[in-house]
Amino acid sequence: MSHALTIARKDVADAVRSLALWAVVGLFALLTAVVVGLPALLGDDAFTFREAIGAVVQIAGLIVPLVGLLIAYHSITAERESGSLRVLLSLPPSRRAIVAGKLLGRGAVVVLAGVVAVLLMSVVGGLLHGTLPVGSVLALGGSVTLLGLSFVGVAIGVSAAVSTRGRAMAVTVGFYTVAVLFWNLLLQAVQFAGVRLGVLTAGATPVWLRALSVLPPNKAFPRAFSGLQEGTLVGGSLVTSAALALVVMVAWVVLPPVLGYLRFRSADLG
Amino acid sequence: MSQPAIRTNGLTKRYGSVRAIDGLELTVERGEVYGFLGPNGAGKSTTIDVLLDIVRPTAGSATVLGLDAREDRAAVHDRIGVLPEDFDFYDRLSGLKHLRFAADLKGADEDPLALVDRVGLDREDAERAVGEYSQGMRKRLGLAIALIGEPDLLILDEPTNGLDPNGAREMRELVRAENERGATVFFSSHVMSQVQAICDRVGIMNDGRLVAEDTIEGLRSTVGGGATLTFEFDQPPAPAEVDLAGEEAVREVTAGEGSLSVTCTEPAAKFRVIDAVQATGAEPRDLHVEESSLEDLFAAYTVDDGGPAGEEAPAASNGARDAVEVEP
Repeated sequence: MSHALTIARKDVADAVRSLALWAVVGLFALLTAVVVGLPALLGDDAFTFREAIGAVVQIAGLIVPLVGLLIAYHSITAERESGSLRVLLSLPPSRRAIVAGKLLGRGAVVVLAGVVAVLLMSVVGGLLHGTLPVGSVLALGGSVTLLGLSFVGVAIGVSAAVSTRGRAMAVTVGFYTVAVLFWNLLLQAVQFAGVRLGVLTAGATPVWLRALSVLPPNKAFPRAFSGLQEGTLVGGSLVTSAALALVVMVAWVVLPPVLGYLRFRSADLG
Repeated sequence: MSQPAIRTNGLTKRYGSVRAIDGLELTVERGEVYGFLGPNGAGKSTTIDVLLDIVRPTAGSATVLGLDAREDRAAVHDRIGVLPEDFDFYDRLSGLKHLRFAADLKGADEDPLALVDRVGLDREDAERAVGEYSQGMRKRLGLAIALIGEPDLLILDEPTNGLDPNGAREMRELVRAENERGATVFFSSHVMSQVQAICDRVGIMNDGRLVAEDTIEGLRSTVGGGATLTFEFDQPPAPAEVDLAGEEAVREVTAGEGSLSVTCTEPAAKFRVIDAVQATGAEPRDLHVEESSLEDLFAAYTVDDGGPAGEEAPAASNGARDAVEVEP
């Protein structure tokens, strides 16, 4: 474990020197600050800071996944392609420690990025609105960092499983497209087909379909956010609960890296 | 401590239908400096990758310091120092950060500056981001990383590649010092002159196999007596005019500008060569004799002319003679 921590520390030290990373984080922070600040600047009092945070959740569901994937998709393939992985593998750390270290390191970076963005948003919003809805801000901070972590998890898993940057990019872009852009459409297609085939009754949404609707981390994220904001983690049915959403997101942090490691473990890395 | 530093048994690595390593039997004893020679693509780096568990063998096994290269990887890597051939660093981090990182991973509390000094890296350069390093500086940093923690075995893959002659000499001095400290050194190169000055034994690899293995003295005695005779003429005869048919100890006849060179493998053959050249009627102005070097021997083993090199490890002298075609 200490090897993984050492690798993670090095990874963070290396990543925070990356200009591209800070450009993306800065863009996200700027966007949230604009969403929160613009209505207040335009004198629209009807749009409160708390409501503005709701709008930020919408944007975060699109952008944070991109940030998470971007931070981590090339983390292991880069070392494999450049040959720095050879230096690492010549030293004591095991392959497992390398994958774990990358997950910890890039995870720390995405948490840092999330915290910076939410802090900036709080400062801008607090100054312009004159209030700070602490509960909403904390709920946003918590759920956004978990969202970022789950996409870092996906990207680390992919980066460990494939050998080149091109493949890692293809798989992560594919994942983003399906999970973020087309998931609702996909489920509607499934439901439509189910009705046409007579498996489902029209107008009714079975439990498994409702469970599937929170399967991607970005779909679980708004539920996790509102559950955290309202303090109701287990209200209503299990499939729509914030608790399940949180479990789903944590699973995305952990499972893809484990699967990626299983391929990485037996690969020729020369 | 009596187990060999490196031992491979029937080690084979195939990529598709290509055999990068083909039933390699290699033993490196404790305390020796072993020169692992072969042309690029002979399978040297793949062998090292298997020893480091970077690549998994198709068949056979490898032990390092008496431990299984794969099963006991962690224990092995705590005790070895490695300079890989093709490698890269983290461009945004300084050389010193790299050294601290590697020392952390090895659990060694070494003074990074002392290592920087030992490998001849400038202390100011050590503070700079590695992205700005020249090839030679990268090599020195790589060596400094390899030296962390006083390893029992140093595995150096083409360590002199990319170094100027002065750097290569410093590298050899470091290898010697590490060996005197008690480290076994496994030193791969595709250039004979880089290993002959410091290695106790040399193994020559070609097409995934060890085609020769001997001490430097042993190899020298194999070469002993071989020489290249260079005749200078105003009007040199064509190589075909020199009648050396049936002369087994002659390897090669080549024409140069106003000269003709004949390489032979036995001392006594020189006189017969001189006779044959004079028999052409051409009048030589001068004659130079150059003793054959270990480089010539290395070339003889590794030029792919379909000699016995690809079969089984031959007696060195036969291999040297047969691997090069005699041009009539």
